[in-house]
Amino acid sequence: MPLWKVAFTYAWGRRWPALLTILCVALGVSLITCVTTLRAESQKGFEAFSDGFDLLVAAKGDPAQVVLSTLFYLDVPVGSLSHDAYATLKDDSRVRNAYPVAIGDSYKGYRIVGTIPRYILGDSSLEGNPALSGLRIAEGRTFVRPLEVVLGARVAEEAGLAIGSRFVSTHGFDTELGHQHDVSFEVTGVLAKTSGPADVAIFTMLESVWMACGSWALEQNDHEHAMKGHSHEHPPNASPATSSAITAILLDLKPGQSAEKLAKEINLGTTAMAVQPRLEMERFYVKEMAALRSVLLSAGQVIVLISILSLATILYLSVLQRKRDLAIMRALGASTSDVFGLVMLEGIGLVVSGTIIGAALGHVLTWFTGIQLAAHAGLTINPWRVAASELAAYPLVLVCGIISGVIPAVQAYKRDVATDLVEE
Amino acid sequence: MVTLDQVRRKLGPGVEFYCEQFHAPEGAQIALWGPSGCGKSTMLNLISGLLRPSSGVIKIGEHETQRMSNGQLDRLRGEQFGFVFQTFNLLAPFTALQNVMLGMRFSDTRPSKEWRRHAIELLERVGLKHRIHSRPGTMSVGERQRIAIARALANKQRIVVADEPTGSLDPKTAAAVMDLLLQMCGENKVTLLLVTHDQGIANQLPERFDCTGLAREVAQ
Repeated sequence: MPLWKVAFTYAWGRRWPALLTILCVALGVSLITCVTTLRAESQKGFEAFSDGFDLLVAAKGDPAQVVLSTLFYLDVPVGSLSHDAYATLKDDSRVRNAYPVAIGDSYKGYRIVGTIPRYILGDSSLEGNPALSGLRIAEGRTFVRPLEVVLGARVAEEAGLAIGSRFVSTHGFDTELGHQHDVSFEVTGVLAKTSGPADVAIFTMLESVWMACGSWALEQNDHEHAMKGHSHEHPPNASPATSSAITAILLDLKPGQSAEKLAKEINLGTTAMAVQPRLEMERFYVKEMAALRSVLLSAGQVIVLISILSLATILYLSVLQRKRDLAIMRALGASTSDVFGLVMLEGIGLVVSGTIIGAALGHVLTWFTGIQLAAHAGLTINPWRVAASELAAYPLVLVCGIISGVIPAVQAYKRDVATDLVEE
Repeated sequence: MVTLDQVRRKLGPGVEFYCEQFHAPEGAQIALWGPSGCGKSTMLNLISGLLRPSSGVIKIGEHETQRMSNGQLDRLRGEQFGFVFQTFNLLAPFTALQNVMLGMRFSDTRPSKEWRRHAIELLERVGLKHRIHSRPGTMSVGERQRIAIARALANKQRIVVADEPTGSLDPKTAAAVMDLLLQMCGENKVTLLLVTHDQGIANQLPERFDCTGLAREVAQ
């Protein structure tokens, strides 16, 4: 009978405390796994989809908010720019392509993004641009007239809309608090699935947004409307409420042109700012997300630590409970190293089981969280990919487990066999 | 086979164990008897290496155990000694078969592929083949002691030490267990050292060693 089988038989004899210990270890490990995987995968996704443009120009405000609202449709826009700003940048000799974006309305929580048809139709010069290259029509046609829309793949699935469907947009991004407009949009096409933010957006012409928001602006002047106490999610000046206003401009520069230099020029002005989306997302992860990640990782580490301490206690108590059994084994010829190994194997077995279960549980948790991320940001992550930081965490947990087994194992090793054999 | 020569062991404040001479030849069956607290169990523990002497010589065959390292002593105990205790000392989580196999697990006397077959043979010999997969908690005290006897003889042991092996049994079961123990030790030509405070039990063995006074008070 191998020693591991002896250890397993003992652990099975005390299966409930053993299972609770495994569960505690698994809980901590699953949290660490989920946080590390989610962080690595979401960062990869956010950075990839923010890598398609050299510059993003918007009203002055929080740079991360600008990127999140323009490219991922997550936050509210910081303000609006005049269409003239777009016209100026489009004609700049350093700019290869410029795409205006106007965001202000939504339908069932999905944002309506006003832009130009070329954003959807693609451009041969933009081959490889992760933000745009995947945007192709899977069904129907793109928008060519105001109030025609193309749906992201997820919107088409979830919102119950099809080609030819008509809907009325809501002002702002909150389905509960928003106020419905009088203008009606018509679905003309559905995009192929991109596993990116475009899946949760509704694309239309800039003029459509201006028309919808123009109607809102008129309604704002309606005293009767104001008395109803409706509130909107718009921050001040966030909506392109005035005719021909936009919320951002995405720039693709000609080869050899410096994004930093153009950004500096734009930032010297008083109305607009320019950010490099990829760099901004990197900064966002380093600064903003680091705190959240640190809190969640600390929670995972504390849980693992508590479970390791409880493991040490369980092993120690089991040595006291089994002192006679261990003495019998010694009488049968078991060496001190056999007894030491037996207790260590039991501890290692529990930690390894907890780590394996925790790792699996952590990836399942990531999968669930990934569903939420896909619903809100359209980003599809691979929940089963093992991150390098995750691989580094497991040996640490195992080392802690091994250390926790050492003290009880030494206690077992040092016991007086003759005394333990006769004690009741 | 077993020799003790002027063996001392401190037992506590002002109390020591002292055995001037003891010899058990190979295949002997000797009762170590005397009243409770006289030092007979201490003698058994010293012989089996569970206790170390403070001074003196303990010889098991050619080995002087007081000179051996802990590892060597563990190996010698596994290979040459079988134990039968008053309270059986079986391992509760394991089946009868596993308990007997554990007797072989910690010694190198048999290849591992033979453990199972040999354990079944031994359990058959003690009349428990039908209970090989039962755990000690579900068995009678007589059955438990028979498992302990099977375990004690699992490694071709040369010495079986039995500490009050019938102390927890009713007279009828005790007699059956004694018969089995004497018979199996005799069949295997094993030296049996049996500790008892019961002169009736002691008289069933061919030889007796009076342990009275082995544990004695000494000036501090």
